[in-house]
Amino acid sequence: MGLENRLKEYRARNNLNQSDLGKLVGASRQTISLIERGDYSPSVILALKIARVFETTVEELFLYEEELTHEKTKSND
Amino acid sequence: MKKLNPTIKFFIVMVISAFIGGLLGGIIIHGEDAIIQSLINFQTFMIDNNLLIQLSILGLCALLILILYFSAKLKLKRLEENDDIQFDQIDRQLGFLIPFISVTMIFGFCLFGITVTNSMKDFKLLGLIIFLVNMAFTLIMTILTIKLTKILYPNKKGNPLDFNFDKEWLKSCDEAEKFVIYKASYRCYQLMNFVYCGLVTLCLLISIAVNIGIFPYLLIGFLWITQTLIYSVTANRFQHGQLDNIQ
Repeated sequence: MGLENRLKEYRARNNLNQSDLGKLVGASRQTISLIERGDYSPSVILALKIARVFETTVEELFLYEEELTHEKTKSND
Repeated sequence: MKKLNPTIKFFIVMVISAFIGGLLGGIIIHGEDAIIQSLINFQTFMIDNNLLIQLSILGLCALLILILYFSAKLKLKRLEENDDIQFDQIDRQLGFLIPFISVTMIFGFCLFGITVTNSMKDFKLLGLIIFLVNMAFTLIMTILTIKLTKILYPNKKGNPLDFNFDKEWLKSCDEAEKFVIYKASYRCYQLMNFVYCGLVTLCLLISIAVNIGIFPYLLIGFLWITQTLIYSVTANRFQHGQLDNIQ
């Protein structure tokens, strides 16, 4: 899918389980699980809602594969 | 390994299919008597034992449904708030239970059809009773399973007895749940095209040995065309904004 995320890490840091996060953003636990596994890319609205819960940016939570490759190349240089 | 050109691949598959078709046709022609006899035996067995078959298949399905339902209910009762693994297990069990109930209902319809068209009067009544009991059972179990699902997912809405149940249920799903439904529906559409094609081939092969009449072809053709048209018209209307937004 090309989209990686740090949702699990942020969830653990904030002591939230999938159901809690789901309730906070108005999504089901199943949806949070699908996003975490990388099986579903959330809509812009849902991504913004999740980022707001963790008081961070969407870019910090979700990384597009092209971005990842670019970052890796930069760090290798 | 070098990837084959799709056009060449298509023609190779066509040639292989034609060869297999010819081979099967040849086998059927040579073993015509044996095939006719086994088809007659199968039909006789189904007609002679239809009530017993109806009772045992539907009884077994009902037993499995009850076991799955009560086990899910018990797990749900014991579910602790932070237990994601147990939650997943119940979710999977319920995800299997709902289609299994539908399959039992479809079995009920098919077996009732066989009983009604081939049995004597007394057996027809008994077949009707089994059919009605099965319908009532599957309906009750659907309602109970939906209720259980609603406990697991309190945001879900809809009454299974309401004619707008599917619409209400879909409306209450969030974006990822809808995505899963759309993806599964498209996969079903794709696979059904192969199923219809396979069924026509099967009918053609059987018709070499036995006269199956025109109805199997008409029925498959009708279903295939209906499915293709519903898909194409709906997709077209969505694309041109003539239907509500997919979301």
